[in-house]
Amino acid sequence: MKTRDQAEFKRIYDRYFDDLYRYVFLHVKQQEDSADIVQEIFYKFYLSAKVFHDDEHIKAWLLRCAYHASIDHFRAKSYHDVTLDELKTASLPFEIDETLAVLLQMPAKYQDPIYMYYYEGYSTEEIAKILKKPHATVRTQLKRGRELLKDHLS
Amino acid sequence: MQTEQIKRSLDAIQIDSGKKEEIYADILNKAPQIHTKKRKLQRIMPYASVAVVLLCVVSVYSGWFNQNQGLSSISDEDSQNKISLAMAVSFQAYLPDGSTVLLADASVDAVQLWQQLADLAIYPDDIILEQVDIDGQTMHLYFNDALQSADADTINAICQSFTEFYADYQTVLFYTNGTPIA
Repeated sequence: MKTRDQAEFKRIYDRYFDDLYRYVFLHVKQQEDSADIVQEIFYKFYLSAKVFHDDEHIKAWLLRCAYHASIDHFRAKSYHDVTLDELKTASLPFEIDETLAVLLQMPAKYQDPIYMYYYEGYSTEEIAKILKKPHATVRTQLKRGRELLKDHLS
Repeated sequence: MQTEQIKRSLDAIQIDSGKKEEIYADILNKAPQIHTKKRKLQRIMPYASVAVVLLCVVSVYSGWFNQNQGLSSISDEDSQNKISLAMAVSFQAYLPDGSTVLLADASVDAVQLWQQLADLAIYPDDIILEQVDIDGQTMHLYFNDALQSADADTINAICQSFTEFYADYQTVLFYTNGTPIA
């Protein structure tokens, strides 16, 4: 089985690791599980024979893998929904401000478009393609996500 | 609204320093193990093939395959299981770039086999084999609509792999989103 060129893999790993970890943590809310999921995704990428057009194509593929991996994580028997209180007592290497607290507690279906639209800068059409969801669904979920944020922050 | 605020808050999420490099090293350490297993497998394969052929020759001469010999005690289900076990062979997956990958412990169940291929990221992960129907000597493989948007090389590679694997059937037909692939 062929693997990717190691230098090229390292470049992609360095470029997208933090974003992918951020996206996964937002859903999973556990450091160890998030790290395991991101490791599995990059491992899959390293072994994958898929040909990519450019870095953006790779990023979209990695995000889609992360989306599916997060769903699998929620479906797992061992799944435990981490509460905000648990998060605040966990020894995290970062602070959780008011906005992040709302984002972390938001249902995953709203987290996806909020993260991809506001953080990654994707359009709703691009998000629909990445998540393989109808465009109208993504637009509605983004709108509801925004409303949730506003309600909690106002 | 608060685009900058959202970005700033999300930016805060970070992994423990050092963990990122640890994960990178783990990935590289994990990968060669597969290569080693595969190389071992490739070394063993010719000997295993010769052993299987010899076993077949011996079994034919010993009359193990004679009809009406103890078969009455075997139920249909049992015999199907035996056939399935006998068919749990290797699967040669064609990749879009024309190269091949040998899966040594391929499942005879097409859906399970597809899952094995998905686990190894042989084909795009959004393509899912949803259903398999067998109609006499024709096998129908139903994929989701992601196959429709896959490039021609990927579609050809998937079709070639499964057509060869199910060569015992007269015809293997592929569908995406319910529509046959031309």
